[in-house]
Amino acid sequence: MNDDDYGMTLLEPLRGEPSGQPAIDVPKAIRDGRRLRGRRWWTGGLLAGLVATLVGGSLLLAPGQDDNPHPKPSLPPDPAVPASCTLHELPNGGHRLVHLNGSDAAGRWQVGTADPNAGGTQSPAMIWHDGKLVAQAPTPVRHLVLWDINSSGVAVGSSESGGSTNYPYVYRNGTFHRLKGGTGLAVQINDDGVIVGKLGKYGSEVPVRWASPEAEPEELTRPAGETNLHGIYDLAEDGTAVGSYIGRTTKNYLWRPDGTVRELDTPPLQKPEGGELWVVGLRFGWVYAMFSDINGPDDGLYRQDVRGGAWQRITHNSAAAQYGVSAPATMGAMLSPVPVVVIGSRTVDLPSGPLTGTGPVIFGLNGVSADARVVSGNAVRTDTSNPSAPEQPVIWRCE
Amino acid sequence: MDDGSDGAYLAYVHGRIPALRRVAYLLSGDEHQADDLVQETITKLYARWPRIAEADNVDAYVHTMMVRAFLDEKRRGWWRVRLWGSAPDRAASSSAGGAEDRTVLRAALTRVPPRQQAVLVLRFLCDRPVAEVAEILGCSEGTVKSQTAHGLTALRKILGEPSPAVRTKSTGRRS
Repeated sequence: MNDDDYGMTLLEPLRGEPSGQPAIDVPKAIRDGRRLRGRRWWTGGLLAGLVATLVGGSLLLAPGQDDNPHPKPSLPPDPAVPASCTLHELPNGGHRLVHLNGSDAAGRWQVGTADPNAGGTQSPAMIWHDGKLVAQAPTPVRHLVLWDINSSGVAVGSSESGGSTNYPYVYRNGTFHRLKGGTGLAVQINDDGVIVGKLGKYGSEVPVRWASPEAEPEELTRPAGETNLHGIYDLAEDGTAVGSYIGRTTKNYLWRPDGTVRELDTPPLQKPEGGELWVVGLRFGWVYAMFSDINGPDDGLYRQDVRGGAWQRITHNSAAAQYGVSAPATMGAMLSPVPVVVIGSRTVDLPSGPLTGTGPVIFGLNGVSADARVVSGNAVRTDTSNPSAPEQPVIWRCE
Repeated sequence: MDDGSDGAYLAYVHGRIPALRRVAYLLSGDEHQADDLVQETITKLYARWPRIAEADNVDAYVHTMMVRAFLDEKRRGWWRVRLWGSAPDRAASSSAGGAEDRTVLRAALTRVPPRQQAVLVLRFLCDRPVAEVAEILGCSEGTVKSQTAHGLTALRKILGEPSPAVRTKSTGRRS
């Protein structure tokens, strides 16, 4: 049986028609489409402004050129792998459901959201410092989620109205402020106060950075030929950012602190056509990425030295390793019944208890400190009828 | 901002919604997600309509937009797909029966790399010829054929693999 016959036979059971009434709103498509037309015009205006900025000697430069293709830098040192870790529940402020979203580089500050599914104006942002709940800040608008926090306790996030009118926000000294630049998202902030995210309506967004919470946004250099930004995922302490564009294929890019951008190449693979390389995050001076080709020879977790470009393979099966990569919360949670964290090039088991309450729990990680001494995430109850807290923010302290 | 072409847009969209919805349903396997895909596609279509309306093959362009929206959505939801699409699917893979077969098959298909998913659906469920799939995906016919082969191989392995992907303490780490 050839591929055509086999494919037809195999997929035949999936043939079918949608049976319910369509929930498609053509007038809304026209309204939103009109805004998109306007947005493209605005982008042109922004680019014109950036040209002027470039003339003025700004950070923004042309896409990176590999003037020295064979550098041999020393690889970034990995933190020492901890000998033991203990699990600690973070205070939930009396809320039934609290979700931890991000942590600072030292692992001393964490930020999250209470009752995120309720999404009312009274759902506060939660801030922890050294394991103590230090703020429950009522958000000024509905569905405002803080994604990341730095060592000064400054957090960033975005309102999520469910439509196309999301705005980037910063939380500082007990107050929320909208970042400059209009609609968009702020996803990460580092200890220097640099913020990255994207601006614009869905479908025509541009990657941006704010040099500080008060600063005007600067568009990150757009890679040649790319128009469909998927997202900016992570920001390192040195200012390196990582994100991707979606075109004929998904391409990942690194924006360096000097303003250059380069495409993240693929690691040496036996069958590069067998899957896709998906960035997970920036950790320990490396960019971590998953190559997904289930049961293929290249399926696994990889990392590349951000400065030198050297690739390393961490594991040979992404299903086993994916749980341990503490991806930024904006990328979604990868949950595992056994908590495990990737530190440097090693996968380290974490204890799954003790925890208050009963019933099965799965864990999702979204932060590991630069010294690998604090890991942060959430414990999620899988039995929804369980009266125990359905989500509990947790940290592991390691030594 | 009405440039006089809304009438043509409306005529086009109303005529194509059933077909677009069917393709979206076959791609996603979910009616609600299918409606979301169509909504997103016709929104972007309106934004670009003044230019697209003059194109030779508007249908191919629109299908390209929808497949890209599908791939974009898969990219966003990949982490959770990998979570929920692993152990339960394997556990159910030995069961028989039409509805269960469809569930198992659909779950397995969601674990195939997204572009390969799109190729398999367009070719074997939407009955599009290789050349048309290549046009929709913006790649060569050779790429469509190789993606078909890789996708079928992946699907076969997923359906036939006996052990669950989620490791437990008792089974140890798979590597």
